[in-house]
Amino acid sequence: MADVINIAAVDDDRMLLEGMRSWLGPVPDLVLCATATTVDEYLAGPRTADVVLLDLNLRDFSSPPDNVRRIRRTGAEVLVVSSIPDAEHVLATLEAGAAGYVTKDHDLDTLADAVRRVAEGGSAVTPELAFIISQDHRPRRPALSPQELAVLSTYATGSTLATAARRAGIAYGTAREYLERVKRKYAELGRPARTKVDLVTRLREDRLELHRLPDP
Amino acid sequence: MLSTLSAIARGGLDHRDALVRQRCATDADYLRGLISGDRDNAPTELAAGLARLGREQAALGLRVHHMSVPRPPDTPAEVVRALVESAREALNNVQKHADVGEAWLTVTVPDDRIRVTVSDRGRGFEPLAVSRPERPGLGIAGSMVARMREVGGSCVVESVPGQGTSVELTWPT
Repeated sequence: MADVINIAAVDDDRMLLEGMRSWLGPVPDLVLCATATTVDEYLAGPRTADVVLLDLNLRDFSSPPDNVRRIRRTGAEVLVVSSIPDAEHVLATLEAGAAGYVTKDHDLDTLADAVRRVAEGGSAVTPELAFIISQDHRPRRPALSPQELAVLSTYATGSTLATAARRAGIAYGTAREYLERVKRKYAELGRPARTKVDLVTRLREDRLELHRLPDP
Repeated sequence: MLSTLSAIARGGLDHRDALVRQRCATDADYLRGLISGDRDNAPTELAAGLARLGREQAALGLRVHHMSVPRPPDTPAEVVRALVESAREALNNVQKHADVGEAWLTVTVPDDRIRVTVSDRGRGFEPLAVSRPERPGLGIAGSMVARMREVGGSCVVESVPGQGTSVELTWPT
């Protein structure tokens, strides 16, 4: 990868795509190389993006984790964006190999930072994503260590990672590594489900189990 | 919010204008705050109260990211009031002292208690130099501590210079 990160945006909101273009214009190291309103449309193009910003819920009702998997197969990293933090779908995209999640309400700096981190092979665990993971009560969630959970829940309240590290009594670098590890655990959870049928079955099971849980 | 939308529709406002964008962002945050608690039911008093705080702060230039568990349990009206008022004070402190443009407001339910946390990534301070949580009435945390204690809850302020501040309001204690 050169000094420039090629970005594609897949979103059914044309106004947003347009905004993205003017938004990224002044950022020298980020280049918007493609925009599309569906994943099919993106895949039909040159597929040259290093990082794809993928809208969580596209209006064509395509499955969010399928979308992530199809884009990942082109070698691009996927950063999921949405205006409403829909926990169930966000977790599913994480399991499908998405590198991170940002809500659309964030400013350009936050988005640009997330893109750069993801392009380097890291992940973008934003406080919003940490919050969703820390509230994951599905029977099929990955097992997190007490310390991973401690870092995650403090970070999930918007506190700095330094604060999360201090509270857990660990070094800053260790706290960062914990966040990465948590993200990896989710990606690993998704790996055994190789076929679409497996995945659909599993989602259905999860949903059934969720419905069986008593109201808190 | 309706007025923002109507003005844009009428052609009186240009959505590329910075002020208009800010107004839209505020309105979107407010809606998101209302929705974040529960999508299927009407927002609880607490969710609505906290979402309003976000709007108030946005008008003063502080962006509040609001996140909540799906169905925070109902709490007595005076507890809702104490939580919302304390959160307002915490956000005001961010506004005045933290030197940042955004803060996080989260609602969680640890061990069947309700917790509202206000965090920022700003300047932070030396808590011992400013307040002593064990002695309400003193310093920055004093009135929040007293207010929460009155309804059987607690308030813990944590800060380190350069690492931001977090205020944890929990009920019951």
